[in-house]
Amino acid sequence: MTYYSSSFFSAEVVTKLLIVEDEIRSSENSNLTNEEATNNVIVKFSYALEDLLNMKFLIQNSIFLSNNVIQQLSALFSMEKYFQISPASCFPSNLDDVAVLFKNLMILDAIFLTSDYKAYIALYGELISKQESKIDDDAMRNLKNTLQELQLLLEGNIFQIGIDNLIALKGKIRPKSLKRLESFMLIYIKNLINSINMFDANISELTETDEVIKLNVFIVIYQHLFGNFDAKNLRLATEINNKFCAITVYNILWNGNTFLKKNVPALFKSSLDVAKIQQNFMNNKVQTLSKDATAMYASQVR
Amino acid sequence: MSFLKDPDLQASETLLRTYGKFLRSYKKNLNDRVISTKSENCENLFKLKFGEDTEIVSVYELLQSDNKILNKILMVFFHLGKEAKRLDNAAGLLFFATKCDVLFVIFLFSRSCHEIVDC
Repeated sequence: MTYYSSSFFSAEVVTKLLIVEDEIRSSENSNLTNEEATNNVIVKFSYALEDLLNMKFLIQNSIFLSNNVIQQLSALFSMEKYFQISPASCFPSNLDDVAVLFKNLMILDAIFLTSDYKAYIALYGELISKQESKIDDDAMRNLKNTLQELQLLLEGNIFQIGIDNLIALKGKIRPKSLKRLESFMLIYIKNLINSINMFDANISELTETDEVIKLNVFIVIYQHLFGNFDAKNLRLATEINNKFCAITVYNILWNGNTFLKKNVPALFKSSLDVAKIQQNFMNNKVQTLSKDATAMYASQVR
Repeated sequence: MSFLKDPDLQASETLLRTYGKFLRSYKKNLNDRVISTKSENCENLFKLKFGEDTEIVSVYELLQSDNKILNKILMVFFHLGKEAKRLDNAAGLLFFATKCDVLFVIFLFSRSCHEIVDC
């Protein structure tokens, strides 16, 4: 089997994997017995397992914190008799934070989907099973549970798990607060659309893509929480996604319309041809590329 | 099982490893520097900037008012925001590849053809 293709992981994780690989090689070239070599591999695999567990805790914390922010905001909106709170100006940066946390979940999904970590965990499980007789029962049970939890994360449904948690939270919010929360989120989305529309297309493609991702993440959250995202704003968001149709997030090439189509298919009755949009964008871009490059160079030199 | 035997490939592999180590230590030092700059006695502090002058004020001092409920609300949202930033930083620093890691990606591709451990 192929060992890994998890090229999105950071240097630390990759280094640990390389150490494991080297260890396996050296074990095979050495005079170790099969059993000793397997034990050696298990010990080294556990280093990479540590990183996966750290990821798991990070994901859990991110989901918990996102829920907490939404819960606190709804609690705030239920205190109307004490405060005159305007949804237009009330803690938008906390919604920014929720969007950033969900963006991280989305990236981790993309990482796990493109990596062979699932097979890697399965291999580790097989190796551990062979040593079952030598390991304490409780420790073995805990380890198997942990591996099972990690397998669930590696399915690529982390973002959906976060959304499901928010939907579950919806039942605990009072209807009046929910209505206020809805208008608060809608204003936030409209503000995002307005600010993105003010970007200069040539520059923002490279630098201000986070806002585009936040917008799409919040459309998904809004649609799942309230289920009635209006067509006008959706059209504006789709136009923005067409304008910024190939966003690079770390090492991942990301498209907003594909993301929306995957996470809120109900919003798209007619299918979007992303490839065609990207091709049109490239055709237009090729024509103006030299001119844009000269303009950018001139602005830098000046 | 076949491994790399070509001395040229092995040499370039070693070179990439050395360069990788250098980049990793550089990145670590840079991150340490950024973290130490940020965290120097700045725990729970809020930075205000007015033109050229800057003033560092504790959030607890900033939120002193007679309205205890309002103080509490502001503190809650401040800490939620701070925790979110911490998690985002942790994600960025620990898990997601940065530009420095492009070399490792190349390195991985160069080795991805190998078949290892058929259990």
